[in-house]
Amino acid sequence: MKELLLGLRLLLGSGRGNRVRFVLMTVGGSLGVCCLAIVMAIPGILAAQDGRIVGRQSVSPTVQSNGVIADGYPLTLDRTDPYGSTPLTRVFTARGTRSVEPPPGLPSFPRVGEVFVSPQLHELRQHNPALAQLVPGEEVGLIGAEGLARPDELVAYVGMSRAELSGGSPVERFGERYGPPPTLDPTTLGILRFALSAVVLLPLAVFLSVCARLSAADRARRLAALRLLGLSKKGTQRVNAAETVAAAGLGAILGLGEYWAVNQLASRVGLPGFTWYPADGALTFQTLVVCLVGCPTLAWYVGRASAGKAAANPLAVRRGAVEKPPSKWVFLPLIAGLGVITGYCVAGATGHAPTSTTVSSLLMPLAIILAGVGLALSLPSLSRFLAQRMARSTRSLSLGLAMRRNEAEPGGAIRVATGLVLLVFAASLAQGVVIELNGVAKSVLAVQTYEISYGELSGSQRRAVEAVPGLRAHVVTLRSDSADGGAAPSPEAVVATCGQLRKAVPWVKGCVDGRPMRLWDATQPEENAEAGGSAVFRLKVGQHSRDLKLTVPQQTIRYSDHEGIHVLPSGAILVPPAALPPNARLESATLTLVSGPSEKTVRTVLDGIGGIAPMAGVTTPGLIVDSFQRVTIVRTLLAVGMILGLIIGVAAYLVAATDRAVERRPQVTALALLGARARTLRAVQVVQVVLPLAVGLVLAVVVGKMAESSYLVTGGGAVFWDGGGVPLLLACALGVLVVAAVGALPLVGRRIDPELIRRD
Amino acid sequence: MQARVRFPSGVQINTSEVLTAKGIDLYYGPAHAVKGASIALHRGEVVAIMGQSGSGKSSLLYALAGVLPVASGEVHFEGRPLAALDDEELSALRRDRFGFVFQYGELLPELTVEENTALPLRLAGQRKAPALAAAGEVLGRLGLADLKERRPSQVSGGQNQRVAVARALVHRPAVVFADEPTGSLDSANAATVLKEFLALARSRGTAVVLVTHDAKVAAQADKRFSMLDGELTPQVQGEL
Repeated sequence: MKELLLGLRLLLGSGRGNRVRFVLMTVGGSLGVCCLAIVMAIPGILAAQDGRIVGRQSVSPTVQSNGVIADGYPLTLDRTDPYGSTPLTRVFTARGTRSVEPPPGLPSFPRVGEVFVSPQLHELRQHNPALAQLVPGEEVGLIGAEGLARPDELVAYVGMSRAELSGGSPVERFGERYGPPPTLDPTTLGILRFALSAVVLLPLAVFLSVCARLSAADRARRLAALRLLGLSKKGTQRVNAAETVAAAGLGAILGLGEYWAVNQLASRVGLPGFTWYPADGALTFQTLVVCLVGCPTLAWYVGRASAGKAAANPLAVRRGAVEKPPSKWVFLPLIAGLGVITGYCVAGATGHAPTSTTVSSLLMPLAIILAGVGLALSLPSLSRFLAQRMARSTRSLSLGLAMRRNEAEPGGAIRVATGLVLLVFAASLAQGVVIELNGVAKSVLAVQTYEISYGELSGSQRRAVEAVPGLRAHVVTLRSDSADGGAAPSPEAVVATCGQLRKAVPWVKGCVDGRPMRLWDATQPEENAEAGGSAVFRLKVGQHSRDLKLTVPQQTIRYSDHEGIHVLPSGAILVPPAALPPNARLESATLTLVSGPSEKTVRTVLDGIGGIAPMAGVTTPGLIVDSFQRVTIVRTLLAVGMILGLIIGVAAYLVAATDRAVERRPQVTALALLGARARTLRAVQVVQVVLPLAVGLVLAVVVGKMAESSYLVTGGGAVFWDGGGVPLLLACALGVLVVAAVGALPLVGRRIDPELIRRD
Repeated sequence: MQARVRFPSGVQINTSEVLTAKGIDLYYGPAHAVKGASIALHRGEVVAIMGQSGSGKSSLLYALAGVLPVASGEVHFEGRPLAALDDEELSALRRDRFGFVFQYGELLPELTVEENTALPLRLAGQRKAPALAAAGEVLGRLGLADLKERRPSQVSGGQNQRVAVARALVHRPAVVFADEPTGSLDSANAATVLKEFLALARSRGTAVVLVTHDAKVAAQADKRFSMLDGELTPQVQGEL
């Protein structure tokens, strides 16, 4: 205990420099705790959102023994459709005679013609009155937070009569035990947590290590003096630990406060694609324990360990012994991690992707952690090796001085930059996660089709929709009104020109414009009528209905449709648009739009359609709009993680670089007094950071891309290698280099202060 | 103002005035650190400035070297006023014409003894090989040739200080400014280092400004001044 008090006494009584260091440690610790709390809060936020979705699921009354459901229960009918690329949930309800608690967030069931909407939908209705068709009724109130998963959710409870809602289900209460699938399934959540941990916690660990080692030389000398004065080995370590524990404890309290503020602010502002209520992100008991107990405990061990050298060999520390070269064992984690990663990469490249997910789910994260930790541990050795060789061979004074410095103190040089290196490594991993999730979200089809009922679009809307950016083609399909009503397949008609056909499908042969022809794809089962048969199609011309009778022609257009998706029905009659009566309205037709399958294109098209015809029902075969939302959430969270990682990495860099510069001031002053030019000093300062950082970044990009690739190999997706992310990663690495170089420049002052080298 | 003097070592040196200061004042905020100090330094001459800690002797030394700007008065080096020189020219002056010895050597710990010694030549733009050769020659004269591959942390405090002396003289400067050059050494080591330092400086015709609080050290100088509360007073021969 006396050692702890002595440690605190030394801290309180120490000079300005030490107090600044303590403040830095505390602020660094608080930043770390804040990030930790954010990472820990994400599952809680998602769980709270999913909980509210489950809470509004209707529970049907128990079926009676005679197989009949008792009468008088309210009825509900749920519909979730894409509004642009956002899901819009409409719950149509009809009151019953029985008293049933209203859905969460509602004061009562809406009456006929009444509607309760979420705040976001309320906003949309203000700006787009046409939404009234989609959400019909008079708005009588907003849905409360307890009835919404997120503040920006689009939900409406529409009151209807029981007669109108004959297809609805009776409701006994709300709060089904099992709801729809969670926003992020446990696997995705696990991956996200792992990626976030890599992105945030690895740079954070470096930051804390940087903070713990600030003014390391000065502190070690002080501790060594205490040891020489008779303090025990353990006591010396405890003195140092007292300081780190005090910083960590204070930092934990501050960090939790920072988290509270961040939660309050960010939940109100919202993140792109991800919003939540402040209460969702409230601190949990688990987070409090981890932050308030775990962090100081960890700091205790870190503080004791960092004083180990001064306690074990105080004389060497007092004499300023040369830093020992890093042990060769530091390469072991990197080699082990890279071994596994390379194995997976080779397996993927040779078409032997592993099928055992159990082994891979353990081995893969382990390999990534080993590679990341190994990267951080082996960089000093690599830096020293390179510095040694460059210092011997170079003729440049600046480079020579910088390399000699890195050779003598490789740990110090690279510690400055490790946070940024790990960030680039983790960024590559995050890219892999997004690619994997994209693979799940995006359609595996060659094209994406969008089917809209023609009757739901006005003439101008139809023309605008057909011109939405990203679309490749559009065709109109008419279902015939079979006169006989028999079992014989009724042919369909496709209203399109040959040019439109060629855009819609990969291969077309024998199309002649202006002539009805029969479409035939040899790969499709032909369900429509044989050639020579007839079909009637009902059209509207003006106010009158008119039947268009067509005979299935003999002339055939051979075409080949896309694999897995049929844009054109084989056996249909191709009707040239000119063959339709003037002013004919195809009320019962379906407009099929065709676009590329990429997520970006699909989003653009859906948003385009939503903007033009928000009420139109759009069917998107093979595509789940929810998965887009999932990818958006994951992307947003990873982006938040990257930003946090960047802040921490840059902070670690600045703190470490400043500390190093402060420790070097006597030597730099001596050099300046000897007549070194300012540009020489600056070049030394920049080179000694930039060169090892460049080596580290190259390694991080290579190892990161390999880790990403092996992650994709084990993920079961179709994509094993993503070259598209490389330019972004290289740009990030270059940005980091520039930031590091520019950040190092101001650390060499122009003024020479001889006091810095006077110690009498 | 030319003269030729014969030193005890027998070396004849041109003793023209190399550095002069007239009525210089230096302030640290309100504190008047140097009060109207005047001094003249001739080629090959060793001048000692004595005084207690805080008397202003180091401030005067760095003012004479052009590191600390003076509030009033003038410092001339070889007839040129230092105040007229810009930062780049002052750096060049320190690099090419001045040498420095600090109390704790201030060798760069990451460089070898030989590289530390060659540093002024390298800073002046000399290529690596001839610079190291020149450093080797000076180290040899100081009996440190065997240590040239070692790092400062691998040699004793006295040896470190001798390396600092070698570094100060390797480029044959006109003036060496020595701030308590033996302050960190025991008396035996201090005597050896000082003897070698002054012998080498005199043999090369280098003037030395020596700041010390040690009377024994000051006794080795050709001229002695004492500093008290910022005021510089010449000492008469034999007065210590």
